[in-house]
Amino acid sequence: MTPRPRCTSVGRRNPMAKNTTDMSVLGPSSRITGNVRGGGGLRVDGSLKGDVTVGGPVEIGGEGTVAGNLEAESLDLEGSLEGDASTRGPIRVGPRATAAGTFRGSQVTIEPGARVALRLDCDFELDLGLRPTRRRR
Amino acid sequence: MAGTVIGEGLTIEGEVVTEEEVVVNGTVRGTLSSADAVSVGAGGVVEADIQASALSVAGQVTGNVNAQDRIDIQAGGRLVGDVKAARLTIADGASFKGNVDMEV
Repeated sequence: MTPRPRCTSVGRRNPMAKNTTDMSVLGPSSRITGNVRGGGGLRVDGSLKGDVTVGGPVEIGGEGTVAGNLEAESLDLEGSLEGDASTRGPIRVGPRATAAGTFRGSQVTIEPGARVALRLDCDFELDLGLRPTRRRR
Repeated sequence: MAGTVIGEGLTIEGEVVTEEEVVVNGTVRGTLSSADAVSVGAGGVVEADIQASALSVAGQVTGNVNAQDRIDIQAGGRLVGDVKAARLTIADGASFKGNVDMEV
C-alpha cells in the first residue's frame, strides 16, 4: 500500500529537490507581467504577475512575490504568493513567507511565523506529538 | 552570474523589466527591458522589442532593439528588426535584416 499524501502543520523541514543545471532565475530587480512556462526549475527573487507552469522545482525567495497560480514539481516559499499552488512534490512555506490561496501538494509544511490564509487540499495530519485518541467501534 | 537567467526550456510571454543583466537561453515573447546588458544564448529565442545597455545575440531575436552602448551579433546569431545603437558588430556567419540607426 502506498502511503497517502499528508500535511504536516509544523516542523520537519523537507529537503527540496534541487536541480541547478536547468534553473531559471528572476533577479531581485526584475518585474515580470505575463505567464511563465517550461520544463526546468525557477527561482523568483523579483516580482511576477502571472501564472507559472514549470516541470521543475520553484523557489520564491524572501524578496520574491508571485501573484498568480502556480504549477510545479515542488514549491519552496520564503516570499509571497497570492494564488493557488499545485505541486506533485512537497510545498514548504517558510517562517517569513506570506501566502493566500489553495495549496495542493504531496506534503505541505508551514513553518511557524508564516502568514497564511490558505485552503489546503490534502489529507491533514496534525503533528503535535499527541497520541492518537482511541476510536469507538 | 547574471541577475536574471531565463533557462533553456522556459518561456515567458509578457513584459520583462529589470535593472540587472539578463541571459536568455529560453524564450521571451513580449517586451524585454533591462538597464544592464542582455545576452541571448545560442538556444535563446526572443520575439520581443529589446531595450538594454548592450545586446549580444548568439541565438534568434525578432524585434526592434534599442541599445545605449552596443549590439553584437555573433556567429550563428540571427537578428530581424530595426536596431539603434552607438556601435554594431555583425560577425561572420551571423544574419541580420533590418535598419540601423547609429545616431551619427
